[in-house]
Amino acid sequence: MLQTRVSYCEEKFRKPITNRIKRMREEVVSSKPILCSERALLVTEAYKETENEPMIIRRAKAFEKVLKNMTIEIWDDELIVGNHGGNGRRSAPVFPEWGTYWLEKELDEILESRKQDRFIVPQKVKEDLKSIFPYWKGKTVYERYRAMLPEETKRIRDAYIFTRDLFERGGYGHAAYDTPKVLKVGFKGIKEEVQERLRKLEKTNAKDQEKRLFYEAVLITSDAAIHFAHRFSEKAKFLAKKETNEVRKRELEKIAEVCAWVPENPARDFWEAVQVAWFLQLLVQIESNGNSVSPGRLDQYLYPYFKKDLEEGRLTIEQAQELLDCFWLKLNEIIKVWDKEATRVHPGFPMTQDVTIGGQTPDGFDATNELSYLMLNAQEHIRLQNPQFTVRIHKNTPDDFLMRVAEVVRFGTGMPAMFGDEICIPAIIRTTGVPLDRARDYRIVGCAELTPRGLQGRANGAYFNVARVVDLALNDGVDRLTGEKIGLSTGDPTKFKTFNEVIDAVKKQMAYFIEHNVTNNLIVDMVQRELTPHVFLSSIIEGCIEKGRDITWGGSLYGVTPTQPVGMATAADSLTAVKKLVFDEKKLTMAELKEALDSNFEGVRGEEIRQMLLKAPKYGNDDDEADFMVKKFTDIFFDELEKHRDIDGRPYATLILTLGSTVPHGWRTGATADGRKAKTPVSDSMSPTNGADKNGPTAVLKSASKIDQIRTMQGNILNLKFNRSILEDERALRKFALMIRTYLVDLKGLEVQVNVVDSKTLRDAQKHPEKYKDLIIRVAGYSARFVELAKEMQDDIIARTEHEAL
Amino acid sequence: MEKSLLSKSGIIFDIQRYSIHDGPGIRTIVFIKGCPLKCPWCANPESQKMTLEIMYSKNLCSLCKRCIEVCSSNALKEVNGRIKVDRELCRVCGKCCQVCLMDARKIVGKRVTVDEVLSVVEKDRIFYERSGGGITLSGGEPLMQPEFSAALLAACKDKGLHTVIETSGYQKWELLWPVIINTDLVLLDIKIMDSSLHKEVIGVPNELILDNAKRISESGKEIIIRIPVIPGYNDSIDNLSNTAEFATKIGVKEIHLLPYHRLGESKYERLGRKYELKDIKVPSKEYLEHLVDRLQKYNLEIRIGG
Ligand code: SF4
Ligand code: SF4
Repeated sequence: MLQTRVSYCEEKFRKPITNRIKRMREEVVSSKPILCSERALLVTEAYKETENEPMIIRRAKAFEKVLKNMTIEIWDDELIVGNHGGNGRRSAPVFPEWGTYWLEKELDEILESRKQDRFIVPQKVKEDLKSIFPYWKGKTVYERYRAMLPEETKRIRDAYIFTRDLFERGGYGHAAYDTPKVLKVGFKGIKEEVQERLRKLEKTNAKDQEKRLFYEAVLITSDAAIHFAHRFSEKAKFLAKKETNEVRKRELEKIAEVCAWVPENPARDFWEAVQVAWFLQLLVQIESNGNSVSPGRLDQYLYPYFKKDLEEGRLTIEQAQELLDCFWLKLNEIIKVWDKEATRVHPGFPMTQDVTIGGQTPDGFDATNELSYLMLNAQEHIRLQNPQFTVRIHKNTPDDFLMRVAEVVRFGTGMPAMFGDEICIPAIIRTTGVPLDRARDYRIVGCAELTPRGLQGRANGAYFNVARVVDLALNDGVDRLTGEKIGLSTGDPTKFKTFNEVIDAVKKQMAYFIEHNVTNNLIVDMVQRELTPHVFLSSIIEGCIEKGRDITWGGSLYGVTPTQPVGMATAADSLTAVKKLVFDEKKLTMAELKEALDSNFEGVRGEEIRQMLLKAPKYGNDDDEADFMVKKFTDIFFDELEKHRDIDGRPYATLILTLGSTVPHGWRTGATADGRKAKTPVSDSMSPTNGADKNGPTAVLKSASKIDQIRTMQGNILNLKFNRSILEDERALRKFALMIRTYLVDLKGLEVQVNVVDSKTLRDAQKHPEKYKDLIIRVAGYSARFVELAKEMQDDIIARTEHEAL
Repeated sequence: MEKSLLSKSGIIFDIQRYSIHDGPGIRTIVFIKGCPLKCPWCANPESQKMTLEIMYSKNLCSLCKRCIEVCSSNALKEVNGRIKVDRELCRVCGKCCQVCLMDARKIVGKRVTVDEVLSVVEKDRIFYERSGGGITLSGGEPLMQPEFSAALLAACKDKGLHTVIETSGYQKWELLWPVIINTDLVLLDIKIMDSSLHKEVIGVPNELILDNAKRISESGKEIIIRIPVIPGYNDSIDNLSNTAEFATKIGVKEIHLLPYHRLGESKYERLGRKYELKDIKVPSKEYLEHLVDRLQKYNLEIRIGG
């Protein structure tokens, strides 16, 4: 599939992968995740040396210590440099500041043997880490958070109605850091600005004294960043001297020159600009283990440098492509170690470092440029987990660009995900109040979080199991699996006379749990203020230097805290079934339903009831009866969530994204009234329940468009499954692109991403046909549900799919 | 619009949204049940009879026998690990389908009104508008229920929808024309040019089809000719050239070659019928391209697939 059959854009912007990139890609793919103790040791040392100093300075000095002493590497072939850990290409540093309790538990056995996200842990690393555990006892974010949590909130959190997961024991990452500024003024410029502000402070003003500490910390981290780059410059010089291959020698000399100049000074050319983008992305991730640190709109930030170099004949498109490919690969070196619980929610090392292309300029013009196309090439070349690659589509997105996007989607990585400006921009303005031009300059951070310039998301404000909230409303607040009372008493469900009573109970439970969720977040955020200011990140976020305040203290210009409803379709479909079967058609009593759910649909009657529930209308079929309930239900969630403000007094916003949390949340959820069995996964993100959508992709899109997506300002994710047969030829691909445009532009959908079904999925469908009722295979004048085909025919289609996979 | 139009009813066996291979743009296909021809390669055997039928998928069946218990006509038996229906006894009441927990039994066919079909077709209007799509009537054979098809297409035109029909053109002109008059594009299947061979393989001669094709074209309606390429039956260069020549003669500009596939095979089994073309191979891409090459000399657009 790699050959270029159709030219959707000028041929000169379609570039094949080079041998250098192939070699490097192979290196990255074949290196195994390994744990590295270097950062942990250095941070511990720094903390010990600074015990009498204010926390913000201690954080800056710890950062400095790491950058000055960590092992640095320049790998063979690479043009963009800067490594994350000191133990090989994919080595994960450790961040003891946020919690060591889990590492103590998992270090010896679990890390190397757990089901997913396993690490190699060398003996030396084990010993190193064990040597520092005693120091951190009682000093970490997680321990402080647990100690401060009110009892009732703790009980609910531990009953797993919601989990903030990683972010209860990790830093912040969801911030739109300001790459253009660093490109333009360098850290030298940032330092000058800070020194200027320092001079203007009033010594006798308490607030100004706080600012002084922040500014002094920024000076430390800025110098540390500059020095870090200089170390790479020295190393490159050293390697260049030894190098016998003339071509590589010159490359190393160039690297030395680049790193001697940036990020200290303003970038002078495209190479330097890409190197700056990488340094920023890397340094933020060395400072904290915050997730979803995102480079943002690289096709915009890098464009002036690209254009100038091209015009002045200093750069060829091939060279630019290679530098971008190098950047793409670099993102895949970043890897973090998390505890077992967190890997269940975030399986497969999702660093979700988002690069966003396309969209509009702050003036509202189409922003697509040559780099947007080159970045699509990079995605085609690299096809790994990172970046989390997204493209913004709006009413003036060029057709050939969208076609090229569709073509890259067809390769089957599920990327780029496609976002619709027509709703994203109004949603951003509605929630955060940023001005229009700033809203138009939004990027995606992480998986789906819409983030305008200067905004920090205190993500994630919890994976919140709404399927269970509905179930608790149908069971008087009693957990169906444990029999424990965890919710409010909202009335014996068998006594409900009208459906409205059900809805009232849902509203009350929802309000109750959201309140505790907000409390839980508040405690975490308080602890982060106290223990883990993010000085380096703050130095490159708009607002912090102006206000003299760290992001943990609300320094960024704008902010928001997202919360993720998990099991949306499960919850809403459950309500639809209850309304229809119990109250409208009276085919079932509440008592019968309760018995069936309590027993997980045991016995013949249980199974009959389950079938009735399964046959009730389901979200995802463009059926107003089911879709109306989804709209009503999501409104209940939005209404309750939007009542709250976060620690900085900023809004809460919905993010309909579940990642892997559908599985652990599913385990804790008994049988539900949509016919789902106990302990099985709840529904994913904003997608219909697996197998429930039977009317094809346009019906799914129509259903989704009935939700007030403007109220999902932090984003939503809608997955569509396609077999490759539907995207095969150019005409089919064009219709696909038009369908996407219709959803994003006309129906004002916020996001859609496409899974091109691979042979593995098809094999799973052979084994579990019940899960794949919606999987459709199409040819002209004929269609079939995959699961209904004979085994041999299924095998044949699997073989075809496999053949086309690469 | 006339009310009587909307209340006309017919039997269909499926409606499918996001159809992308049967006419321009994104379309909704309405599959009309019943067909006067009998092509042995038919990929939609459930479309052939105009009456309702029971379809059974062995690979979904758990052999729980709930269907057997509920059937008051005693039409069902378990034979060799599958549920066999005696189609003589079955009244197609659908009870067995309702109790089946595995979705293994289905009734194929449903009587619906024009209004009901229209309400489904309307749902994707926004996608038609962007992509230049609309409705496609397929089957079966839309001309088997000419009054229903005519009413449905008239109603669609009335609503400003683009209309396509996929047909073999085997119907009396008087009944055919009221359907075609509201059709924007006719996808006309011409399988075999030689009439006696046509009769031998498909059961009827083809003069009526060719004559209709000519008249439709003369009326100014756009036609695309579709040839299902069935190795050994109609893929001779002679047959294809004759078709192309005929197309040129009546003013058709485009021909689609639809390669034979066996995706329909398992449906025969589920309907309790026999698939006759066991030994035919699916034509390769190279072979199809070779056929296209051979037809280059006719001034036609030739495309593989729909
Ligand atoms: S009811 Fe369904 S699953 Fe059970 S034997 Fe009949 S066809 Fe098979
Ligand atoms: S459709 Fe009715 S008569 Fe026919 S097999 Fe099923 S239950 Fe028996």
